[in-house]
Parts: sequence; structure tokens; C-alpha cells
Amino acid sequence: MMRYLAIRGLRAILTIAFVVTFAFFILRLSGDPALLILSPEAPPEAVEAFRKSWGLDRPLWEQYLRYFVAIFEGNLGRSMRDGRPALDLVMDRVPATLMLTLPAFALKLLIGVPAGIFAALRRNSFVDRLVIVCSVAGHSVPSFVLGLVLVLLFAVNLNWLPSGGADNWKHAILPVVTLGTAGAAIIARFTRSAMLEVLGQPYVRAALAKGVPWPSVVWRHALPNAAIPTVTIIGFMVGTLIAGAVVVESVFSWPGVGRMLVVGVANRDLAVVQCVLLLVAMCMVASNFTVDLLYGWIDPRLRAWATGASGH
Amino acid sequence: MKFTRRTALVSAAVLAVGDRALAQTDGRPVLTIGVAQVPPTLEPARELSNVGTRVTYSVFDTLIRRDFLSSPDGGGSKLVPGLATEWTRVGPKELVLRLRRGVKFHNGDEFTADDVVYTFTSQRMFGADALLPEARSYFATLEGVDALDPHTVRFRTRAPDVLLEHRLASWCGWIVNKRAYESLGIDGFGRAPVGTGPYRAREILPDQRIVLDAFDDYWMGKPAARRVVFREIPELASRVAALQAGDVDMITNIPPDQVPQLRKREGIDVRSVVLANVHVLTFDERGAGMADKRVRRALGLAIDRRLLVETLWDNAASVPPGHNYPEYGDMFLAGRQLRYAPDEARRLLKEAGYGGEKIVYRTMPNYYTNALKAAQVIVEMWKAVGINAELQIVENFTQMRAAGAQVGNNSNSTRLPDPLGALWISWGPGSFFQTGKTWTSTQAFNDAGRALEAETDPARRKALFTAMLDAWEDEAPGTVLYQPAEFYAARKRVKWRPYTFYFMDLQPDNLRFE
Repeated sequence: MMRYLAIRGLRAILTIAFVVTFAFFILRLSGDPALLILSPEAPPEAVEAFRKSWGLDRPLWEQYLRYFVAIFEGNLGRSMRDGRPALDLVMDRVPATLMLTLPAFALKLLIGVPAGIFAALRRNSFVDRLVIVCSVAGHSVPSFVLGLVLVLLFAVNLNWLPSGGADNWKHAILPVVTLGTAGAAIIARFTRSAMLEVLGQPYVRAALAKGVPWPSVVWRHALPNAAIPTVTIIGFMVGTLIAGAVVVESVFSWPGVGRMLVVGVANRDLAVVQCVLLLVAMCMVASNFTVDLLYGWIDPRLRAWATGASGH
Repeated sequence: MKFTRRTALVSAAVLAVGDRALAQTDGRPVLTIGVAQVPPTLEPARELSNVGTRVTYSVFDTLIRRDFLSSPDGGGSKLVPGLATEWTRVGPKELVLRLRRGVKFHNGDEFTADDVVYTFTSQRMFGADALLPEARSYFATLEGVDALDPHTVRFRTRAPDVLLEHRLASWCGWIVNKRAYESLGIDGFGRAPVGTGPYRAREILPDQRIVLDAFDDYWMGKPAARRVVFREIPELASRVAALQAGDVDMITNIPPDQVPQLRKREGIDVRSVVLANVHVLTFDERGAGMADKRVRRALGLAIDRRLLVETLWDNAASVPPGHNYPEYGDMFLAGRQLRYAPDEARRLLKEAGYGGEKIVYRTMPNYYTNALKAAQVIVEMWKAVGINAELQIVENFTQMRAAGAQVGNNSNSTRLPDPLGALWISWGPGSFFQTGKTWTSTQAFNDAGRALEAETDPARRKALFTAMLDAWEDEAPGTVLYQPAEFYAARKRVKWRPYTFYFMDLQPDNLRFE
């Protein structure tokens, strides 16, 4: 088990290092922050002074080395736009994003999992068709379109809810529904497919043949086996909690990490973008690791493989 | 005093109660403006973009004011008293200003000559490691500022500078509070600015909103709004929806194709202004086929600018007579024009021996309004005269200026109502085009420009401008397309007029509610 954990830990560190390195070079090679943060009409001496003050006049390898050393010292740099530490800026935004993504995540689970199970158990019924249609629609309508339609309906026409901003809980309703709808559709589709596959397995037929009651077959035999693909997709969604609302935050002017990432990339505010990507990478890695552990808990065969045990 | 959680909670409660009480006693409305972006700080000489000056204009004042409303198009250039009540030239290189008495800063300090001297110190604006390197270019001629007494200052320039009064009324001329700046530093001051303007900063939340409160001790009288909120709404559709839903009173940055729809909405007014800015195409003479100026001139002659203005701007934009604008006043060169002459373009290409070399035109899709649509049309216009043009879409200026392209887009602002405040700043020896060597045949242009900088006689200045503009048009390192329009939509009860700059003037004489 320790060996398994060590390998996973090493992989996680490599993944994070790769993301950070990739972001570092892509951001620097694709745009000069001096030209983006200052105006394009800024005089050359102002541009040079800006580059010098932020160390952008140094060779790329030296900037990279300095950046990596600073990370290990816990220094993620400062925003070039307002001079504040990048980590402080990002952490200030995390609560706002979680205010959207956590309720939206709950909404996805509360709608997606029961809908998927219910549709599978009522295969080819009207309910099944309805779930399929809704999930395809929810999955295929882009979130910015759905968001704008909801704004038009509930803010402009009915005047029930605010069109954007983040002043109180009412402002969160439309973005949470927008985010939750697409996610619920995905989970419903995955859950339905997994359940249908499991319900056709010989051990389900065997359980039924033995006279095990149908609810018990579903609860004790089908659901745990169908959980693996659903947990995988849910794990992926957990990993995106920190910055997974980029589009929705822009549509609803929600001051979260996603919006900060968009502005940061547009202005090449290097420290801020790298800080966000580092956090996202860490969340993804942590989420994947947790999902791997959950696999073992859900399916004993995987647990045995991971600990190196052999058996039949 | 130790700042604890209890202190914070009590302060918040006091503020909330105070706010509510104020709202009940103060009948003035709150003005909420939906903007595409808010600046990260309010350091007036650092936030020099359209995004920044839109807000800082309400927080800070200049010594001399440019009265934009002295002209019906919102682009007037008459100078009127601001924080200085009068000014006198005491020599070719000296200007003495008498400061207004009794003006208060937002922190209660009285405005004095020390604040003026501090605003223009070398440490802040001019030194080798000045805090605001971009500011240097606006006051390049300045040698120093002296306080003659608490209410009189003297500006000294290295050479005669006929534009000094205009510089003091424009970009980077905003006066800061010395005590606050020194104690907070540039970053701290940017987050807690102290000026003398009609509104004082209450809350600055980057990428979210900036809230300003009325400063009732303002020297021009009580502001019309109790509070002004600049709310960042990056998506255009969301901004329009916010206006329609009544969540905001005004929105900015509306593209021309949205205007007809907005005009149909009841209770909403669309206001537009032709900006003191031109969209230009820049030609890199190092590119294949571009070394011959006849090819570059042909590129300009092949563009039907009026067609672009009619189709893309619904005639709200304007084609100027070259890099030459009526707001120059006596310096304006009447009788010039930007010609559309495709036959002449073909002839020049033939004379230059243009052999069909590929001419790559790079543009960013959204940085300049209508840039992509204009580029698509222009490429077809060029193809019609035999130019092998190719359009490339890039994300930013670094990519646009990278090797491999002969044409890019840019905009030139008329920062001061004089050629030295427009053509010379944008294309002079300190510009990217000359330092970056995209334009090297510059002697005639530079000679005329340098002479213009030193000249004070109006007739000779005008002749020098003519020579400078002739040289620029002959060498054709770029070409002017049009002056874009900026559109605002507002509730009809908001009585406010836009200027030809992005400044949003919310002073008592330009904002009222019905």
C-alpha cells in the first residue's frame, strides 16, 4: 500500500510540475505583459521600465529558475496589475467561486444520480425518454446560452432575480442553476449507462433467480457496481470546483477564480494565472487521488490489485 | 488601535446603519454604470487606459480644465480654471499658476502648492526609476515645479512648450494628495486614493466594482448622485440585460450593431460620440514587398473608408482629413482628405514592380471595435487592386508585432489638441514604430516634428505641421482608417453627455437626474 501511495504521490508532483512549467512558458511566449497591462501606445521607455521592474528582461531560463525556487519558498509572486501577492488575490476569490460551485455540485448530484438510476430502472419508458432528452439538452446547450436565457426570463422579463453581480444570495440562484443543469445532465447520462450495463450482468440475474427482492438487488448489487464510472465523473467535477465556472462567472459578473483567470490570461498577469493553475492542478490531483482510493473502497478487486495481493 | 474581529464587526455595523440613515436623509440617487472592466487601482497616472480614466476623472482634478462641452460634439478644447484660478506665462519657459483657495482633499487636507509640487516630482514622474514611467512621455519637457507660496506654483520647462497649459489639463495632470501618497506608497494610494474630485473612493474591488461616494465639499458644488457604482459586467449581452432589467442606469462599450435594438427599448437613450482617436493600419517596411513606399501608399489608396463607416458604423464614425483634426483649432489644415483611388493604387503597384508578394495583415478580433470586420473588408479591397493579402487573427500585441506580418492595426489618440499631442506622440522618435524599426525613412518627418516642438510662432508652427504630415503621408508608415464612435446607453432620466475622450465627467455641471 505504501508503495502504491508513494507512486501516486510522485505522479502527482510530476503532474503539478508539468502544469506549472507548461503555463510558465506558454504565457511568456504568447504575450508580453508590458504591452498588455500598459497601453499599446505606451512609450518604449515605459515598456522597458515595466519589464525591468518585473524581471521580464532576464533570460527565460533565469525567470523560470527564480519562479521555481520562489514556489518552494512559498512565494507565488505578485500581481502585475495591482501589486498585491497573487496567492492573497486568488484566495480572496476562492470563497466566491465555492459559493457557486458547491451548491451547483450538490444540485448536480441531487438531480443527476436519481434521474440516471430512475431512467435505467424504467428503461424505454416515458420517464426514461424524458430523462434522455433532458440530459442531452442540458449537456448540449452551452452554459453561456442557458445563462443568458435565464437572465432574459427571470431578470429582464419577470424581474424576479438580479441579472448579475454578487451582492446577496439571490444573485447566486441563476448562476448555480446554470452550472448545475449541465452537470446534472452529464451525471444522469453516466449513471443511467452504468446502471443499464450492471443490470444486464449475470450476477444480477443470479441474485434475482435466488429470490433476492428487487430493491435489495438494486441497492446491494447493482448500485455499488455501477458507482465506478459515476464516481469517476463526479471526481472530475470535484477537481474543477476551484475554477470550473469560468464562463458562468463571466456571464453573471461573478467575482470568482474563473473570472480572475480570464482577466489574468488576457492581461498576462503571470503570477496570478500561474497561482490559479497551480491551485487547479493541486485540486485535480487531490480529487483523482481520492477517486482512486474510493475505487478501492467500492470495489475490493481493485483494492487487492493496489496492495499487490493476488487471488481469483 | 488593535484591529480585531470585534472592531471589524462593529465598524461594519456602524457603516451599514450610517449608510441606511444617509440614504434616508439624502434624496439623491445612486448612479450604477455597467462597464466592461474596472481598473485594478485608481492611481490616476498609472491607470491611463480608457478603463482607468473613466473612473479617475471623478476622483481627481487638474489645475486647468479642458472644457469639452465648449464644442457641441463634446470635443471642445477651451481651457478654463480648475484647481488653478489663473495662470500667466512669465517667460518662454515658465508658467505661474495661482491656486484655488479653500479646496479640500477627500481626507480633509487643504489643497496647497506642496501637493502640486509633489504630484510632479521626479521621484513620481520623471526620474530614472520613476514610479510612473508612462507619465514621463506626457511631461517630457518639464524641468521642475516650484512652490512660490502656499497658493502659487511655477512650472519650468527645458524648452519653450506652447502646450504646457494643455498638458496640465490632460492625461497625467491629476493632482494627488501629498500626505496620503507619501504614507501609503504608490500601491497603497492606488487602492485608497485621495484627490479633490467630486467623488471619493469608497470601495475598490478589482474585476468587480468600484464604488464612489459624493464628496459634498467639492469646490464646484454638491455632486448630483449620492453614490456612483462602476460595476464590471464583461459580457456585452449581460450588460444590455442589466440595463433592461433596471439593475444599472447606464452601460458603456456598446458595439454599433447592437445600437438599433437598444434604440427601440422604451426609457433607454443611446448616446454616441466620435472619439478623439483614430484607428490606423501600420505598415512594416521590412516586410516582403513593403520597402517601396509606393506599395505602402497604394495600400492606403485602395481602402474605401466611407464604405467602412457606412456599413460597419452606421455612419456614427467619421473619416478625418488625414492625421489632422478640427480640434487642433488654428493648427487644423483645411482642404486635405483621405482619398479612395483604386486606379491610382494599381498604377503605384505597377510602378513599384510589386510582384504579388504575400502581404500579411494581422489583427486582434475584439481589441478595437469592428477591427475584424474591417480587416475582412479591407483584405478584399486590396485583392481588388491586385494585392496578395492574407488575414491572420492574433490574440495580442506581442503576437501582432512578431515577425512575419507586414500590416497590423493600432489606434492613435489625440491626447492634446495639437499635432504634438497626436501624430508626434504616436509616430515620433520615441514611438514603437521608430524604435522598433518598422519605419526608418523618418528624417523629413522627424526634422519637422523637432522644429515644431521648439517653435512658438503660430504661422511657422502650422507650416511645420504641414511638412510633418506631408512627410508622414508620403512615406506612408501607416494609414488612417476612421475615428471610431463610442456608444453609451442610459435610462432617459440620466442627463449626461459623453466626451470625445473616455473620461466620464460626472461633475455637477454634466450630470443631473430627472
